[in-house]
Amino acid sequence: MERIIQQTDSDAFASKLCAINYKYLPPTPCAITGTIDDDLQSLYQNIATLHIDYYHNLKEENRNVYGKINKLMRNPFPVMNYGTYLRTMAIDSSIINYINNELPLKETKFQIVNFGSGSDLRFIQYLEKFNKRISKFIDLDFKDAINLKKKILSKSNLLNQLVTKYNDQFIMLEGDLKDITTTMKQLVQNLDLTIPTIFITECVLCYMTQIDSQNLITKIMNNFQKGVWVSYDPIGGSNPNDKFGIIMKRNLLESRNLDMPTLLIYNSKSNYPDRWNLDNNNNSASIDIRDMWDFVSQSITDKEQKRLRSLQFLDEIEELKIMQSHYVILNTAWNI
Amino acid sequence: MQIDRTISLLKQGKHITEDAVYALCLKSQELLMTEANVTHVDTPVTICGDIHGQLHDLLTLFDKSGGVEKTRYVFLGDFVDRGFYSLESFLLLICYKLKYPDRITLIRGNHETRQITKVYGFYDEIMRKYGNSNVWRYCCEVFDYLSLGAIINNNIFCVHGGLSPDVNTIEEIRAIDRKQEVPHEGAMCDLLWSDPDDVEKWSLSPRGAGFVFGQNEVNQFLHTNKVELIARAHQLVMEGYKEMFDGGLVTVWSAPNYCYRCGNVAAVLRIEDDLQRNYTIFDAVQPQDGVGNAIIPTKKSQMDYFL
Repeated sequence: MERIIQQTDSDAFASKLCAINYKYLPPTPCAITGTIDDDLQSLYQNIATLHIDYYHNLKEENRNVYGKINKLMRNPFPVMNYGTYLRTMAIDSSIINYINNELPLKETKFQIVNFGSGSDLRFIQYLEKFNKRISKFIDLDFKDAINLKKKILSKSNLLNQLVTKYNDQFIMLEGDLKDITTTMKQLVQNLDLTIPTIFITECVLCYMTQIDSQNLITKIMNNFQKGVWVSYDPIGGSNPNDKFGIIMKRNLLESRNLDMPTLLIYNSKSNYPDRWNLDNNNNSASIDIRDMWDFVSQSITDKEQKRLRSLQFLDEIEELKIMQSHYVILNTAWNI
Repeated sequence: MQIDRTISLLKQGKHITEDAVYALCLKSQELLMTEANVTHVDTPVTICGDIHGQLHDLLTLFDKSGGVEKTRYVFLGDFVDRGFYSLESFLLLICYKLKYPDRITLIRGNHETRQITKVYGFYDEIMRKYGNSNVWRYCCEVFDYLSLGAIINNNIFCVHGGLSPDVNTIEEIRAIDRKQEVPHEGAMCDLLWSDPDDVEKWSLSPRGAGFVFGQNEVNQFLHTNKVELIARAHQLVMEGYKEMFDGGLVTVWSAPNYCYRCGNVAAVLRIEDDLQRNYTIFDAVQPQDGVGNAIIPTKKSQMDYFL
């Protein structure tokens, strides 16, 4: 099971490379409504260089994974590239909004934890943008995933230079989120429980059992005094006529033996946040949850939507809507 | 007869030689060439929406609606792309067309073009199945000869997408030189690309081609052409069909569980001699081979979920 879950990192990385190749990412100026457009522009300025460099070094390090990603990248459907763009933008705009709104003082330091980070290169993007404001940035994933990432990062001149530059801030941890005791021990050893911490789970909780994901969330929220959780996941759908989730669960089990234990449990925007509603004195500030169709209609400007549609002749608007209304972005800030 | 053998192979999803495809395409071009841009069709007739390479669902469609031996059909286009059996689905339809020319009308959809099939799967399917693009080219030549619409009993206008600001009368559609790749704008493009919606007037389409039109445009078209219904496909409808504008327009969708993941049902619309409308709803089936074993669709080469 562990290996099957790890393999989803190749899908995620291939999706992102594709979205970069086809010029969905980075977004163009004035892509997003509100005040964070400039911040996103600077966050994404090197995204293409970083990812392409990682990919080239992967070729020498692990032919197998490289070959798989190479194959996945061939002729992607427009709906997939569009969705990868939305997923990436939704996560980063949630993080940037939190930093801008909750930590407005430039001297306020904060930490970031990227659970199940896989090949994600956000650590570079954020460290380059926020530099010394980030006291620690942790990537935590299974042992094999971290080992491969370490090798690639050291092999690439560009990436190695950046890792060295942020040597005191960037930490890669091998672990298993199911083992909450060890995970917490690792986090406590490396982080300060009293300063604001940003936790990211991008398609991570969906692979965990209900109990394991609940334990992880509860422990984190009870131990870290102030923070925000940014989570992106699929939801199965709660309408009795909606079969998207049932079919998705079945397709993934049949095609790759991949299970999503809570897809049909936390199946809607109203119950997906349940795990963060802790029944204690936790002063949970707010829970904001939107599906990706809400996100595109509310946050992506008409001009940017037009650009995205023109990149590959996006035809199937109805299919895009069905898919994107089954993926959610949640962000919840707390302050004990 | 050769064509019966080909039909039997196609139904089983078996390989058809490049030469056989070439011969079929040539014959069907000759046949389609003689058809008008807007074909006349008589009732009773069954109207079918998008198929998108879902061969096993196309077989179910024939099964549930009487079959081509007994029933007349109008297919509204989008035979290819997205599903794993675009070639087999399209060839099966043109075999039927050759065998029963008066019983099946094939209208061109926006996916029956060179440009769109390169993005949405048909081109890749041919490369995977033949190792070269010849068969794709033969099929694209046939696409150029498909008609743009049909008219049932002078009362129901059939088209893939919808209306065009450049078209007031069906007569004007007859004047189009259709034997070409679908242009990026103009009447021919709009007929294949436009969508109905609750809009006051002609609006730009979010699809990047065609227009969005509303009740006013539909009423105007129905009145001018003295027809009572526009039957079109082009948009996924979770319930299989959707009537709009006081029944003046209907969308019919015939690809159940679209892309093997959308979870929708499909529909076909039968028009009786008295023009009564009867919808048949059907669901996706797990593809099975001749002896009832489940067929796992050809290994997917493309990503289809965000993981």
